[in-house]
Amino acid sequence: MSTHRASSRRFRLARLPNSIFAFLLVFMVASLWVPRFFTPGNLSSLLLQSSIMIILSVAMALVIIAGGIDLSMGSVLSMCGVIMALCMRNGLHALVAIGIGLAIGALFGLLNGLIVTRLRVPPFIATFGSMGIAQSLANTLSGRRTIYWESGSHSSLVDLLKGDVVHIQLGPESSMVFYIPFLVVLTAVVVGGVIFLFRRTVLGAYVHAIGENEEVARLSGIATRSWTTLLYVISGALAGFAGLLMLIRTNSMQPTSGDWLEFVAVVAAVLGGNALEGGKGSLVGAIFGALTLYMVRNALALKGIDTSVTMVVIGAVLVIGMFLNALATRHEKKLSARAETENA
Amino acid sequence: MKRHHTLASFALSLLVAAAGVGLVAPAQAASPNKPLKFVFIVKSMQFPFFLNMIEGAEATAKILPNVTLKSVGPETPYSVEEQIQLVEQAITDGVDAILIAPADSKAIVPAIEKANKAGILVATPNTKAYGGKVLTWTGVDNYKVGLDLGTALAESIKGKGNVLLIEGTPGNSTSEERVHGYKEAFKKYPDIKLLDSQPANFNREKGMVLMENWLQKFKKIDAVGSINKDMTMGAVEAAKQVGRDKEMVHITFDVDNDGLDALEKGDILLTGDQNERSQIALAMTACYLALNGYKVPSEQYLPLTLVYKKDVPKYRHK
Repeated sequence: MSTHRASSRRFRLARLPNSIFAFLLVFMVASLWVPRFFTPGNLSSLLLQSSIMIILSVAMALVIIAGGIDLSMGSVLSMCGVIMALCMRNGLHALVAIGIGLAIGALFGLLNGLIVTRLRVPPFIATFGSMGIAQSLANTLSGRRTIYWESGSHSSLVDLLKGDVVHIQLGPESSMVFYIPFLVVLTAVVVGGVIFLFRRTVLGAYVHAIGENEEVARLSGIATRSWTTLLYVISGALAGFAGLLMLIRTNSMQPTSGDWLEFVAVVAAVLGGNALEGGKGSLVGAIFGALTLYMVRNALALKGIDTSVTMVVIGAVLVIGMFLNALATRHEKKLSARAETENA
Repeated sequence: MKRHHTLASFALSLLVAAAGVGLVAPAQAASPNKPLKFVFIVKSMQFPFFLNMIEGAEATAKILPNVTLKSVGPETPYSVEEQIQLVEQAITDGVDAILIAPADSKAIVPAIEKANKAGILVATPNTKAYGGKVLTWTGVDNYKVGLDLGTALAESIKGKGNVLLIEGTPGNSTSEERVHGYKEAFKKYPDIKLLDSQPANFNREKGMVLMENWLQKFKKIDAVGSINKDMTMGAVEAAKQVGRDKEMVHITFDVDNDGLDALEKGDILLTGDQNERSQIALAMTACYLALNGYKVPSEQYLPLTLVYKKDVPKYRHK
């Protein structure tokens, strides 16, 4: 977005996702107030730390824009991760293990989608139910224990993905190491792919239409059931992918590692301007939402502030973010009203 | 320790004074005035146990010269992924020592390796890590905790009766080890019948619900063992509500004011104390010594103390 565009397609404040304002605000406050926040090392780790949540919040935004919700995400993450870890423990090649894990995530999404569209169970309840199923599967399959594997040639891919693509030492201190881990690159590729699908294919338009009014969408010839089901499949697969990231990050898999992440994803998506009633929102907004949440956490921890304060600050950021967006919208309306009177 | 500190600083001020008047050349090996930054990462900021540990950490930081301390923990209790984030941030922050009670012994290893690479000391009070280079571990043997509590439980009902066991979060290594110890202890008593063993995630409300179900299911319960006090408090409440609290004894673990009250009232027969403040104090002191060039042991076991009603006054402070 730039202000130098032609006046007909002028820079529009209200077009920016909600979370941009909150993001910038938090970013500035943190940079000024927290020593070592604005360092290459910390910004690198911030990206790494938010990766999993960026994936989940994009998936959540997709479902929310279509008027749904996917509460099973965290448990599907745990379950898929456990399955991948178990496959590798039994000597399967990492690629096969990852394939199986992602497929099962997608399958779970399909299940969610079918229950929502065919059995007409409200998404909140349907995905809440499958959350329980996925969590039990994760617990049972893992025997409620952390799963790890003997490192070997079959798992060398995971060892590789633990590393960095770029690693530049800019100074003697560890805060002066700029690095881009493979995890961040993977996340960027996957998120980029989803955004591409959303913007460059009919997917985005259909999702918005379904979220705004499913009946109208159906009457205008959109196969709403199939498209909604597809969304849950994507969401399930993305949750599985987040499970892979978690597995790489901990070099093992805990059956409880996805706990509560679905709620953080909802908060990130809402902060990104995705209204829970559907029809409105943006994927980029969700990404900035996730970044904002993790930035708050990162800055407070760097500052050494009691973590129980974090939720308070996040709540405040959410409210302020919404307020800033309302301000921007109002400002925009005033501007366009003035422009209209001038033109008339 | 306090006296040593005073002595040391006295000697130091003498040295400085001497150097000032040119009598002694200022030759210092390590620079004792270099500020040292420690960070302490707990498993949860919401459990009294870890708040006790933080209390101990803060008290220790006051004694150790030039040490500043930050205590942090994950928002979602026992989230090892968040703990990894906190380790990464401590590395960025350029701390001298990271003290961490890992929420998962295996999953924390990549983070410890990162800290190792950055040349930062890592100590693991309370819970071991299964990898990476760790300066020292301090704590009780969780298997022995279970074994001792299980034995005490069996003895308290004279080796005979119906027993229930409340576990922590599924998959949590502390929980698994203690539960294993309990079960091994019961094996030595053929007349102890373990009716059921279920998780309540270190959570009081979950302990209560679990106990409510058990009270429905089992006609006669003689003893309830637990691996953590919060879950027991919930179970006690559940038994009271249906007036069956006198039927059974409760054996639990960890000490705080809440638990001491319950001991005094006779709601809990016995709890175990793992001296968590000493665990962190020892770990911090070990880091301090190592940073000053001393060698420290890689494992420091603390004994487990059984606490009965008669011991309550000793544990009340302030």
